[in-house]
Amino acid sequence: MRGLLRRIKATLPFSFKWNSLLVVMASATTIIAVVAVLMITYTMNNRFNDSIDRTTEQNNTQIVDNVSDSIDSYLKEMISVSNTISKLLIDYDLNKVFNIYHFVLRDDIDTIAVFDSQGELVMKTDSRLLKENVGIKHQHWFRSIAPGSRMYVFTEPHVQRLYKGEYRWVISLSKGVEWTDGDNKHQGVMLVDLNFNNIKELCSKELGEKGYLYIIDTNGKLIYHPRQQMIYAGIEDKTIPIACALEDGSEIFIQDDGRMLISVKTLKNANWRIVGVSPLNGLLTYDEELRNFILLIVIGVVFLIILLSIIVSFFITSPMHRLMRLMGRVEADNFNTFSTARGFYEVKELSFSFNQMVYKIKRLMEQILKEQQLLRKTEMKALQAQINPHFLYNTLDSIMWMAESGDQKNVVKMISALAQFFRLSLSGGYDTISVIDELKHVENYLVIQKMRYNDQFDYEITYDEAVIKCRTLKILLQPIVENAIIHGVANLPYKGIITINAGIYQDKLRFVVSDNGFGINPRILKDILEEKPSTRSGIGVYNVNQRIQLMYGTEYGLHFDSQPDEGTTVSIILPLHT
Amino acid sequence: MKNKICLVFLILVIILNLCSCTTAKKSFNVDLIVKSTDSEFWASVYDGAKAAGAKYNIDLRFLGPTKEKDYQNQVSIIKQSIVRQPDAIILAAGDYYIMAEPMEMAVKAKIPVILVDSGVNSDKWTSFVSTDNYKAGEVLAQEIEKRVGGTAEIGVISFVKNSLPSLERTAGFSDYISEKTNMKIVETVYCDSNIEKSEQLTKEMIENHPTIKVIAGLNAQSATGAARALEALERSDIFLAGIDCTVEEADYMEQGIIDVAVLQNPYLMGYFSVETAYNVLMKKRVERNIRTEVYVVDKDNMFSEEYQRLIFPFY
Repeated sequence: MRGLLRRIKATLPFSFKWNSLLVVMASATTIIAVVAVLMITYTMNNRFNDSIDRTTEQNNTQIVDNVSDSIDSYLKEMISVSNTISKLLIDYDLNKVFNIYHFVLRDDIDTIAVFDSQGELVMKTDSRLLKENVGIKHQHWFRSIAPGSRMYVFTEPHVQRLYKGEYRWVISLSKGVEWTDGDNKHQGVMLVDLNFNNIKELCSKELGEKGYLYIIDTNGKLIYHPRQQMIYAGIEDKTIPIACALEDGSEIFIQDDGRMLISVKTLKNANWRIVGVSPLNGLLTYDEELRNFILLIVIGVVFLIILLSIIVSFFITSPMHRLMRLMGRVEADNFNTFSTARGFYEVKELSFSFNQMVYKIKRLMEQILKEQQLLRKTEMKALQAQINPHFLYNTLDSIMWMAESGDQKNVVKMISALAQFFRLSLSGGYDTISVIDELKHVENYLVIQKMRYNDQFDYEITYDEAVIKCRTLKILLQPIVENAIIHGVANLPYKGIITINAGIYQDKLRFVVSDNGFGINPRILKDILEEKPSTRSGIGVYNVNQRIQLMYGTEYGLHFDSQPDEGTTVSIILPLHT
Repeated sequence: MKNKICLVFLILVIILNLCSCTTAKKSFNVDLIVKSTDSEFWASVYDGAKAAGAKYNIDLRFLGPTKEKDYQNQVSIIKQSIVRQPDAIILAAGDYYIMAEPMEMAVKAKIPVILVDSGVNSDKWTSFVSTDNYKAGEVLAQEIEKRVGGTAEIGVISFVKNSLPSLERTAGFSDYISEKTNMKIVETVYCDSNIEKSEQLTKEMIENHPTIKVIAGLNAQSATGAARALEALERSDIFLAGIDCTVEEADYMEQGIIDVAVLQNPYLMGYFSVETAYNVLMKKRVERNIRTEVYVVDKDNMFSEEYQRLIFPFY
């Protein structure tokens, strides 16, 4: 296990690249997992929110229904109180009214009083005195119903000012009443002032965590609100205009501070509407613990995935890294490489193929090497073979002329030189001969040519004793000398001289062939060794260079040095072999 | 590689921080230090503050001397509050000069201060929620000119000499009277927001200046005391104008003793001050000066739908 960890650690720092398998795998799986978790969360959240929405809606509707029922029955009770009193009033038995009615003791009724059509007090169920100049006739609750009409109306909340120093917020139930006093029929208004004690209690039902209930009338005027004072001070509840425009039922609205469920129910006994507002926060805002938990899961999953990807990618990449190193060795021309990678099936396959491939490459390389060598040999043979025919023909031609003219001595000399020349040319089929043999070979050639050219030139062959046993490719000098004769000294107006020297120069074997002929045109000289020339003698020079380079490499070969009208010097550089 | 591990940890820490930030719904502690805990006006401010506190999840503490004249005590109340390190302090300074130093101490202790109603002689505060008191004084003078006018002699009962509203209202009132009317202020007295003292001062004033035609009470206590004095002396012929309108004053107004009142909106001031404190704590931009409206009420309109809501608190 520790070894594994160390290996993981060892692979990590070097392989940490942004496009490495590890990073790609880790990020891909992380993204997939996170997206999956988020999508699941999102879907769950939506589902859950929907069900919360439904539950909240059901709850709210139920609560709003309940509250509106209670308030309805409360209002009905108040209406029946006023009805009872008005019935009693018809008999105009004030005492009876006084004796029976105890509702003043109820703490939700502030005042029950009857005023005649001029606003004068007729009766009252308690003994508190009205203050002077109270101006009943001008008060809104008095004016909002016709005296004696038997109709009733609930006013909006207002400050009641019947008593000195008392200013209470009440809702007034005004009812038109009639009564007879002897023969006189009277008409008036009965006032039942309700304070908010009961309504407040009825509306204090919990509506979710932050929900609340309030009452408006059908004109959108506020009747009761748990934060009434705030609204009175000028801070609006933005749900009121929305609730006004709503039919009875529930609807979801989106406000500045989130989604709201607004439920509305209109009362039967008054033009009031009960409104329930509760914010729909949804699962994630609702339950912080759950949100934390989901976040924790996401983070945990991410870390787990990163860890797993590191391990998995390690198992994948470590044999691959080994393979990569092996490939590097193959690249560096080491074909004795063999992969023993274990691990996943794919890696094993890869490793097997790699081995196969290296083996095949190795075999191919060997084959190519062999073929190359064979090719070179054949080519050399061909090149050597190119030398002979013209020369032989020309020489035999010269010998024929000499024999015809009876110059027997020279015929013998020439044939002897020719015989030696060919013997050395063949030299038992070997590619290489000793330097001294090569020099003899070229001397024979020079003897023949000098005779053919009627002593137009002289030659001189010198050598370092140290090199005579050295090996050299055969027939190197002859083409150069042939060239020197044909292009150098053949048509000179004075006697030409060809010197040949063999020696050691800079640890290499060097032949130098110089003549005092015409020299070579610099234009021709420039690429004399570059491409296969068309003239036969040119071919000879080219061939020499090719052969040397094929045999020994490009650092060896011919070097020309020529001045027009002064002569040409050709150096042949060869490795120093004994 | 080490750097990258560090980076990963850094990201982790940031994520965790973010979690804790978003999840923990912060509740703030705010101290509301007023001039007097025993007054209808400040109770209304507190009501407004509580309403905003409930909305913004703020724990409010309502502090202050019992009597407004004990403004010296406010210094030690502020200092005690600083020791407890609330998230913000909402202050109604009892004295324009004396409260400057303790207020700056609070600011130095990194507690933002929101002023409500009354300012201090400093500019280190964050925001100031108040009635435009100079304008309130002016409007009062304007109403007197409209309803009495002529060359009437006026007695002014102001409240606490060095509190900013008192200074501003007095200035607004006397500037208007002297510049735009032919009326004359014959005397200005300070009742220290004490009703009994105001009553006494009014009686003395009427004795000293028998020709006085108008009395202006520049806050609730001044006007209430004056009204009591006029009732006792049976001098409802003297025109009484006041700023603010308590339930007691409303009674006097209905009786015709108080003739006109300029209303402030203390509930809204309280609400706005807490809302502003919340915005400051949530690093939102806030206005440096937040002004609430003033309204003119008299016997005829005091029971109108709009004004009864402002005069009589809803229980």
